[in-house]
Amino acid sequence: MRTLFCFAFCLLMAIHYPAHAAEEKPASDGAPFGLSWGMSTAEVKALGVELSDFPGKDWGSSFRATNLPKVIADAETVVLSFGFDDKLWRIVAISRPFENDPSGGATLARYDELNKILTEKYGKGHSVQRVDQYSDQKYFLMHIQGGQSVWFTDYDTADLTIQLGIGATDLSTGFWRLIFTQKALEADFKKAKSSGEKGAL
Amino acid sequence: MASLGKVAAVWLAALVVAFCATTALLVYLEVQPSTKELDTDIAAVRSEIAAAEKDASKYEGGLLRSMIDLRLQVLKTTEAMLQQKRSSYLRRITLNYNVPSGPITALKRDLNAMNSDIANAQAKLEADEKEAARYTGGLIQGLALATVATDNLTIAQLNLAYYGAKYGFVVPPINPPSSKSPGEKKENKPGVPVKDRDAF
Repeated sequence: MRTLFCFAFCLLMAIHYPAHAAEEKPASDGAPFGLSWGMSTAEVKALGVELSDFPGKDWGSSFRATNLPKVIADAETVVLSFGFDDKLWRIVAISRPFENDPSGGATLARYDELNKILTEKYGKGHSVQRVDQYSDQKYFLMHIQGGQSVWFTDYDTADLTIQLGIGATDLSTGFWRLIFTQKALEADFKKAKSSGEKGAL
Repeated sequence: MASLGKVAAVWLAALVVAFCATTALLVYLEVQPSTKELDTDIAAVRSEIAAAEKDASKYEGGLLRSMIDLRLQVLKTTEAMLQQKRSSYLRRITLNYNVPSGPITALKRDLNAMNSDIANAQAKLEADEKEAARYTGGLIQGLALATVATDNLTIAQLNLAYYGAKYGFVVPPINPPSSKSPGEKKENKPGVPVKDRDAF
């Protein structure tokens, strides 16, 4: 009887755990666009990706990437940041301009599409949608450009923070912006940055 | 008698042609804002530029300075577009803009609505300036001045949109576009486009 019970218990565990493991989100060494978190510049280049200089070192060593294995169809610019220890920890993608769109209709529609997909993959995000008191829709991008209005969603998983936001280059041209950061590598970057700044003082 | 009829017919035809031409000219003049109106608008924008430059000189850097700089960019873009429009009037040429969109033409009611928005923004600016003047320094005055700078920027942006609608010009990007040629841009695509879901 006891043997039978043990056997049944083991059989149950053998069925339950693999099924449970399958429900968990897969480990996210996999970064977007066919990359992996923590990759070095050499490893990224080995995939055939071309890295060109990017001004601004706020996130450590950063490059504009082209020829990525895969990318969102209307992304125009992708920037990869490798921190101070040559490990990929931050990815920014910016869309092509949505021109002649002062009310932000086209930009917002595309934002909503990406929001839906990101929600499916990473869970419901926290949205911030603050518009200027002149909330007439025809001035939407104007106020986004000037900073009087903001429109973004933050997603948070165990190891990633992601932000999808809307920006504007002028009164009628909008774009979306996606920022991925790997939490553990970001913490390493901040430590390295802090100790570097302390050392400089 | 027949020749008198012919002369009368020619005179009548000439009168009809003259009448049509005059009507067409009057319609043209009525539809297009006059050069005098354009000059008034240019003078107003230049006065705003001078005021913004004076404001900019008060700050070395920081948030207020960067907001004033953005306002200056908007105003200078407005002046440049108005000047270009004025030149086109003097040379009686139609301007063609190399942007993938047509000129914006606004109905009078749209212009009136925009004017109303500008007036409201102006009223808010005056109220916020009075509020900022109550303080002599510190964080609260800093915040109040930031609100004033935001109001000024809003007015500059509204004026640019208004002049764009009034004179039918396409508002160019405030930040200069990339100097890369379309050919170059094509070669520098970020990567292989896939469906959104597959990209993450």
